[in-house]
Amino acid sequence: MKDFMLVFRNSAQSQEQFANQSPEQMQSEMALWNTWMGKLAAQNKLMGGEPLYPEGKVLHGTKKKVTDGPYIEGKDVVGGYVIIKAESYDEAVDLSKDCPQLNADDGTVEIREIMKIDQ
Amino acid sequence: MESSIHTNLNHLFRREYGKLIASLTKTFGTHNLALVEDVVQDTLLKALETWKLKGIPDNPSAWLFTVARNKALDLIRRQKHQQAFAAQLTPLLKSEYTAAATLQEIVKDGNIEDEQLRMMFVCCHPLLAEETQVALILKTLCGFSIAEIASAFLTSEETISKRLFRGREKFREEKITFDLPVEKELPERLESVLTAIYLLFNEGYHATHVAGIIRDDLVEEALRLGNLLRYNTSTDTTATKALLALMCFHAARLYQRIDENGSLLALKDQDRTKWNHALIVQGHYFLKLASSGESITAYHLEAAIAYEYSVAPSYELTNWKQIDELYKSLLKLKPLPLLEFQHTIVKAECYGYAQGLDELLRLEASGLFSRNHFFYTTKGEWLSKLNQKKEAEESLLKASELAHTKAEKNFILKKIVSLGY
Repeated sequence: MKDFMLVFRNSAQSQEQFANQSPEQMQSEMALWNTWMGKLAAQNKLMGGEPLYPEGKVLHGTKKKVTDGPYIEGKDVVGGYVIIKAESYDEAVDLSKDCPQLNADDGTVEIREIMKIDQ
Repeated sequence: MESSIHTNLNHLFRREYGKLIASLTKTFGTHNLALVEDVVQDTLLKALETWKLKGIPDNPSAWLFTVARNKALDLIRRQKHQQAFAAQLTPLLKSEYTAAATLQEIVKDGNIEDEQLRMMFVCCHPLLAEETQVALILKTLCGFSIAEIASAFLTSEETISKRLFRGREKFREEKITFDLPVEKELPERLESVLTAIYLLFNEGYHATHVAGIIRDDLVEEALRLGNLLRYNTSTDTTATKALLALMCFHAARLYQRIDENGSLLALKDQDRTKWNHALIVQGHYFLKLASSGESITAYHLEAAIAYEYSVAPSYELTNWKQIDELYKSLLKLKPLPLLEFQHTIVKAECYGYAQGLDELLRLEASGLFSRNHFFYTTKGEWLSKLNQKKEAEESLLKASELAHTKAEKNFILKKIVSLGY
């Protein structure tokens, strides 16, 4: 088994729409996420994860310049991440296909294998 | 009417109790079993209060799981800084992002067979004494109350509470995880699970001392737990199927063992048309499946013996020779005095009571049967058949003194009267 980080991104615009949903919409959106993550948890494949606020700060290079971020440079915003267990990229992709992040056209799930550092 | 609703609810609660405990233990870990039992108890109490006013919901099981899940989530939120839950789930349960999701898919109605199977192996952990294993199974998987377990085992509630307490302690001390054993350990671990199920079954089957309902429930639960083992290919071995066959054959005769006055009815006096033939057919099916493998366990031989009894058209037409052979093989695997005694009964039918009596006297000399009323009842019967009425009466009187229950005493006293001596 390998660990994979799934990074959820979508446009700043979608993020804003999401934040401005009605409580009912928010709840039904949460239910979708709970079902998807819960299924991974029930198979012992969910290791953890957290959601992120859309706003943030970015530090730049040696000058350590601070900008408001993160969407100064790219239009995609990271909304959260989870870490899952899977045998291979194929399985990780399969497990991610039902992710509610993909219910919006501009939503993406970036799948990255976590590097195991030998001692 | 009122009481039938109550009985139905009792049955529903008992079944759901085991399912709720198994899925919550998967979440909280075995070290939190006492906490889990509190959550389930609270849930059932809430159901009782709510349903009394609003009636039973269409899907009571789903209702119970939703309430239990919410109670569990509250508990996790309150205790996440002091508590560790099930090892793999602890990080998920401590984060608000993943806690609800995790509970939603783990504590839910539906396929709980896997969780109940794990619970069974946890309860039968080799570090626990056999009596603790059985008490834990009855409490956590079968939803028996402490009073019911105590009455099933002819012991006090305090003793049962202590056994359960020791069991929970062991879970905590030994960090027993909520898992099926690894492949290498499985055969041995499965054997203790099968032993516990058979013990439970026998407790129900032979118990004339407990109320009818508990006795039937014990037998029913033993069959249910045996069937649970069939859900996983690694636990669905030929030994499992042989045990199931054996229990089916015995259970088929359960209601004919006792007459309307509560007295025991000997095999030869039972009305064979009233045996449960559906169970005999089922037993036959399991026995056929059990015979597909290479290994022959004691369960196979005991099932084959029970099969011979169940297909005999009458007591006299029982295939005693075949049963005699089966006992010979069984005694090689399990050289127990009690089985030797049963074998002697078969030999008496095969070769005559005089030879049977010789064997019986040899067993008596071992001193192992001095407290066994079945032994002295049998001895009395054979002496009477051999026309030694005085000795027969002596033996039967001894048996009636040793008998534990009224039903057994009545059974023996009837025999003394029929001596006409």
